[in-house]
Amino acid sequence: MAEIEYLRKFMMAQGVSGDEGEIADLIAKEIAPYVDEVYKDAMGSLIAHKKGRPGAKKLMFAAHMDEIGFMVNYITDEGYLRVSKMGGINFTAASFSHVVFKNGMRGVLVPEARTAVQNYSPEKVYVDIGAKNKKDAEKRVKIGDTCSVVSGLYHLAGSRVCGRPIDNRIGCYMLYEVAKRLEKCENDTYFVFTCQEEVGVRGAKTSAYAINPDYGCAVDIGGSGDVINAAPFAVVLGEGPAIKVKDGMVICHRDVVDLMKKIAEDKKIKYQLEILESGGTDTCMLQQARGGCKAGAVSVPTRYGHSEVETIDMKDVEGGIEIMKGMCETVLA
Amino acid sequence: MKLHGLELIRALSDISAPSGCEGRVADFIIGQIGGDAKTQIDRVGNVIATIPATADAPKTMICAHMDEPGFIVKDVDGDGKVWFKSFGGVPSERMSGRRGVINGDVFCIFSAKPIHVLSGDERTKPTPMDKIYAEIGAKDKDSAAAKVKVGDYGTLAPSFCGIGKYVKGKALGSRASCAALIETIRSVAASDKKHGEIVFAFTTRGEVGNMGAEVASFVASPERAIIVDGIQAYDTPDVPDELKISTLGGGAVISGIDAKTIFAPARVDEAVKCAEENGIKYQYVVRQSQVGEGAVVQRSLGGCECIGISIPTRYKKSASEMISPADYEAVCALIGKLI
Repeated sequence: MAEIEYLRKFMMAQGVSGDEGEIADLIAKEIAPYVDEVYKDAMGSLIAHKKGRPGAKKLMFAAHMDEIGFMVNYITDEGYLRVSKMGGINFTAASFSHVVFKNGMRGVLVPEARTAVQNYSPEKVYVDIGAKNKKDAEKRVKIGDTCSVVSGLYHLAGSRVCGRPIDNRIGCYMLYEVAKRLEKCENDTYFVFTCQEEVGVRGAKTSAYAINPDYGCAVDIGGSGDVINAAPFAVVLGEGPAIKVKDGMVICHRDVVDLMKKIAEDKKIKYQLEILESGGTDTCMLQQARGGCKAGAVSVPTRYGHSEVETIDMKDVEGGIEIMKGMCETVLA
Repeated sequence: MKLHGLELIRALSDISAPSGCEGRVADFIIGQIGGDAKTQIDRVGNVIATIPATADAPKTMICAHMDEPGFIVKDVDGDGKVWFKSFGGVPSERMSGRRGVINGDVFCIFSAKPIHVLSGDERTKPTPMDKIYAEIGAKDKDSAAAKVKVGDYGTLAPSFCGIGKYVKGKALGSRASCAALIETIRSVAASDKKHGEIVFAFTTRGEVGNMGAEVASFVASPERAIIVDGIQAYDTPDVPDELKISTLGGGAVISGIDAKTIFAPARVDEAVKCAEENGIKYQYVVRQSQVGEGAVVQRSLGGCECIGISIPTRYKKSASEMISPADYEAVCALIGKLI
């Protein structure tokens, strides 16, 4: 069964898009015992390679390890920090939150006084680190430093948990679990922890080019249709991982969708099918690298994405891990 | 004749070479490089100048786009007026009344409905681009057709000059970047400092989606890249301090991020350190400014470690882009030290 303390460990390491060093180093250390080699590429993605039989097909898994956050771009005379958004920030959700820098320093992200909620935006918020003035602030923080809303993971009822950044440390954790549980590695398997997904699926593009896989499988958070006033969407928490069929940027290969369904049925894992109108994940970059590959994805049904209360059901996580493990154990042709 | 410094920048700025029609500036650049590097024009018109490695060091591509915003002729009407489609993002209010040039030597003015007959609403709003035409001084369609035909390309007219301690001209930020590359090629060729292979790419179509850079980086497959361009300097009235991207005279801009690129942190730190150690004036900018060529170069093939070094430029996308010669010198010095 999924181990929540490992997930927590992965969530507590910081890694705002473009600044993934800390989370990359943690994953590298944790996954190293279960794979043959671990290395980083020029963009900063982390690749854990487990060799397959000679002549085996290449199977590439991708989970992005970056998280949404902020980058300091200006320090005011009063010692407040103006920030650029790194990724799809919901400023209503992020406002009045604690943020934390890599060196552990705290700040609070707040809107300018007298700003209406609907006008919260990168230009209208700032970070207050408690500095007395610009000089004082400059001793503590530099232009270009990144910060994110404070991480945390909390139990809700039953097997449900909430926190941040479940997007997408849950995917990183799941790949780590697959590598750890794997007994029979039939394919030449690459577990790739991609960088810069939140700012436009950038890292997966170059990793997929370099690896040149025959099969690709991304793992990321998805949405859920079981919240109040949700758009019609046939994915709910607790009914198993969602096998991606399409999203705004990819139509998954039928062979991969069918393979995932068959594995789930053989192992008696509950699953759902994800058909999204918009949005996208690393899957599209896996599919389109070089001459293309057969790509699909596992999505973890998630409520309240890109907030500090992203909510999932650990039963869905467990199912997703087992489906991906099944892919590793299937001789891909 | 080989030109240097401001004379080189002037010549480059004054050449009319819009996106898709870069031949004139490409030929000039090749002439200025001369025998200092092996040059070729690739299939999409990029000028690629290569200096072979003299040491076992990473292959580096240095990239600047050589095209400029412009327009393409879509119709010559019965009165000999030239109608066009503009591209590259010059706003219409920066065209009306300005001089332009078609085919490199046919001068025109951009004109529209006379102000005296504008209705109230038309007076207060910029004239839309499709209501602006180019007047080439032809009396009818036939005499216009002798000089200009559908499909011909044009740009703003050359207008380089000095303004106090600054200089101004059209396409100045990007063409000064090309000048920086040319002068870097000369200094590398003249120096015995060891380096890996260096590919200088003067790219096409930078104003319309960085297509030239996409091809250049794919073919060159560098391990490292330096993107050189003009970057917005909003150090002008009515812009709050915290929105000012860069400052004229503030030195070479080293970018942490742009609108679509997070530059390689280790290489950015190296550039900052290099500037400090060599006493080169620099400004570190973390702004989601324009989309530069970094977005495609960084993520070509298996990716490369990419940085952006820019020349602060006021009034971008106008006939009067303005730069500081001191910033240009700083950019040249910094690139020279980094390779």
